[in-house]
Amino acid sequence: MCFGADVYRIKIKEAFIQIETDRFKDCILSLRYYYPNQEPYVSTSNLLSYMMSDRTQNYPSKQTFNRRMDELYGLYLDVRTSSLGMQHCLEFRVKTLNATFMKDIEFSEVFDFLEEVLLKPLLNQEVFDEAFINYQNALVRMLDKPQTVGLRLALESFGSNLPISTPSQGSLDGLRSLQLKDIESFYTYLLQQPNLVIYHGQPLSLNHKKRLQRLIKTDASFDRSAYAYTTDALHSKDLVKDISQTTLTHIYQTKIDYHHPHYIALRLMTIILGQMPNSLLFQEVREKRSLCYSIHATSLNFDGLIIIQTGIAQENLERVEGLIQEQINVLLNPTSKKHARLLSDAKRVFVNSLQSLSDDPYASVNFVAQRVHESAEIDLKSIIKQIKQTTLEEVITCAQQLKLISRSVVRGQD
Amino acid sequence: MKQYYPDIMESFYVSTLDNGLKVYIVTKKDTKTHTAHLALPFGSIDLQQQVDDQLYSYPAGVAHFLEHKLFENHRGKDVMQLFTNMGAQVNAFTSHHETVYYFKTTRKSFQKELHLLLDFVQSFSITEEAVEKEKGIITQELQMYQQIPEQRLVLETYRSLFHHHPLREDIGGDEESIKNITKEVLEQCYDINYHPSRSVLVVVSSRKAEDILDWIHKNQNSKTFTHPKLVQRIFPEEPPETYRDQHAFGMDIQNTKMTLSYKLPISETDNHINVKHEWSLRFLLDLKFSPINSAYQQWIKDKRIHDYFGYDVDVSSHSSFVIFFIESELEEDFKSLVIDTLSESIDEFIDSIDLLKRRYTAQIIRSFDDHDDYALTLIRSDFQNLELDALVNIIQSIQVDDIKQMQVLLNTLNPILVRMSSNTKV
Repeated sequence: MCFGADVYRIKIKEAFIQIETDRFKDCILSLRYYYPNQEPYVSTSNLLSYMMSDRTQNYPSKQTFNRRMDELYGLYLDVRTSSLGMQHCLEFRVKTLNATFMKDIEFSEVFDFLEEVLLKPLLNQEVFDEAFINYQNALVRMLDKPQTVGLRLALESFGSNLPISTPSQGSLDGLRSLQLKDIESFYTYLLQQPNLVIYHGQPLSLNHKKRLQRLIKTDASFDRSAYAYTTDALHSKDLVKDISQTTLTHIYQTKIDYHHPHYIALRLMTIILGQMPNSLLFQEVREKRSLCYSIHATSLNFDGLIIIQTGIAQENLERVEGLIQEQINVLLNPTSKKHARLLSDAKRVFVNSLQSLSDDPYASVNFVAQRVHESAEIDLKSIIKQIKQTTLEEVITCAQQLKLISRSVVRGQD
Repeated sequence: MKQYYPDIMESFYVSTLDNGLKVYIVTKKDTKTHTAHLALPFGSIDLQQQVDDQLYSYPAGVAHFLEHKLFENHRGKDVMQLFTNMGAQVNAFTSHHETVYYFKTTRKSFQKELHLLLDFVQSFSITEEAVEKEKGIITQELQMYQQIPEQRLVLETYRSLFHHHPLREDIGGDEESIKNITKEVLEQCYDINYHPSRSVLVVVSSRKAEDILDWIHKNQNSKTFTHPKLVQRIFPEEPPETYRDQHAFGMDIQNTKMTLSYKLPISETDNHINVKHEWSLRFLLDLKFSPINSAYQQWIKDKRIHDYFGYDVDVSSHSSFVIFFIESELEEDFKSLVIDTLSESIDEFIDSIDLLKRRYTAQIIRSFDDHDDYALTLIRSDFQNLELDALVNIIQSIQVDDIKQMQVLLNTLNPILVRMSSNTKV
């Protein structure tokens, strides 16, 4: 299977993916576990991520754990969570210099370390207590950021216990009730869940491949996580903070999920709306009227939603909301020349981003992981062909599906 | 001319054109992405310049404002639109020390993009109306950054360390200084600072270096430039003592954050020395204030710190400082943790020095995989008259005595404290 510049071979066997290349100085190992995107899993997995990236049974202190990573030439370990629609993901990611640069280290030692982190975490009360404080403080800090607060308000207005309203990073409410036994149970549960093992770097020896393959949970299968959230109501939330700028967030339903025939047209529509310098929102709100510095449209690919967010002066709120609606109306009523031009530009931007994936190891790993998990097309040539063949009519069809379902305003005090 | 650095296994071509433009071309076999970065050593700290025999002063934020306006109008067309038409992404940023314009494309024949980058940066025309319009956008940008707690805290820390140094000003200026930026000021800054002899261009691509150099020559040979000026950065006289010992302010935040900072009298004109000092300090701080020190875990257990605790160092030819930061209410405990730990011997950590060298060297080596990081490293090395492998070599050369020297220095200085609390708790 080809990817990117045809200099890669992607090999997929069960849930083990190798992206072989010797272009980079680093190798990446990514292990991803999947489980339902709901509490208590989400907050529990986030707390577990803090604990498992801190110490292990054979490296039971921060000092010994960090020393080992330094011995492995500054090996980088990240344990993080993410949301993919109906599913949540806990990822263990190790980045290490390739063997050429590690003069006195066997590459096997990197695998030893990964297995140590994964299979021998130190889950005791001391580590729990420390992780609890760090995680709690991180959640509290998120409340300092108006953009984060605005997005959360808009999403939480849909109601609790929904994937879309469950923050990927968990919540203070989810955290407060957790105890060590919950973490231990979840850890055991996690290792039984379906997973993906992805390797990006120099070709592996047979022995190393076998070690990675042993980490795959072969008797578990994925649930496809993508869906399109819909609702009949329009939710609106307002919050006052002691800040100088107002953050406006709009969320639109699209009724188009990841696997919909119009998914690519929807992505192109989002780029036209607000993901390039000549996008409708950027031009009309920022460039022509100087009403903001930043305005952008983002797609929540696994939830079938579009988010528009911007920071503005409070007195311009109504005007900007009017302009946003105007741009959506423009999408619905194309003046052929301008729209054809915008669609052409959007296609180039989209294609460019895919073609450059092979130059970014992290982006490559993320892309492949998402596509494989969803059993979606992975061949870039085929995806690019679909992009190029997308018509303006298909884009307009996507715009016709847009419906504002949530709005939040985080404003300064009068 | 090709330069090869075996220790980091990197090579590139470097050439200086007749007009003074310095060009670096890095060939990355098999890359699909081609990038070009064009940089000028004109940043937010350049508020005063000696140009030939004349002294010029500018309002804060002028370098950043100029960066915004360069995109405005190239021969009557929007620069970003022109790049988008070719399928390329273009952007720019202004930091304390430089302004950088760059594009990325997957089009292998990117001569037009490269020419456009050179053309739009090397020409400037603007109207007063355009200047006034941009003020609205920049004001919103400034307000956006003012809402980021860490940015506010760092800025207030600089304002507490320095009496007059331009680091006291936000990179974008402030609403007052923006009002004083006029068409004439922008044109003056442009004429002085945007000459090719002050510019560095870095191209990272899989294309043959000879082809790219040929494109650049064609573009530059078709232009004429004014005579280059001799430009020197001027800094106001800065006394060795800090501006204030303590400062507190409020923001709409949940938890109190603080910095404890040292102003250091170690800036030299030779940047090799500055780099050595900076990394000796980094060694010192990592040995004492990271998990390398077994006390770190005890500090956490005793709830003196948690994972929002760290430090940063900067040593340059014009300013030098160390900043510790923490999320905590306990002011006196923060001070004593830092001061007491600094005063303790580093002998027990000596065997960790080689491990740190290994870590730092690995970080540097892996940074060359990223086009942007590679380009910025070349740009900054050039502007500071450093070789590409200078950093790795200096890090490898650092000895215990160098680290102890920095420890002795810090122990002779009095740090300052800045506290950012929730508005109701100031």
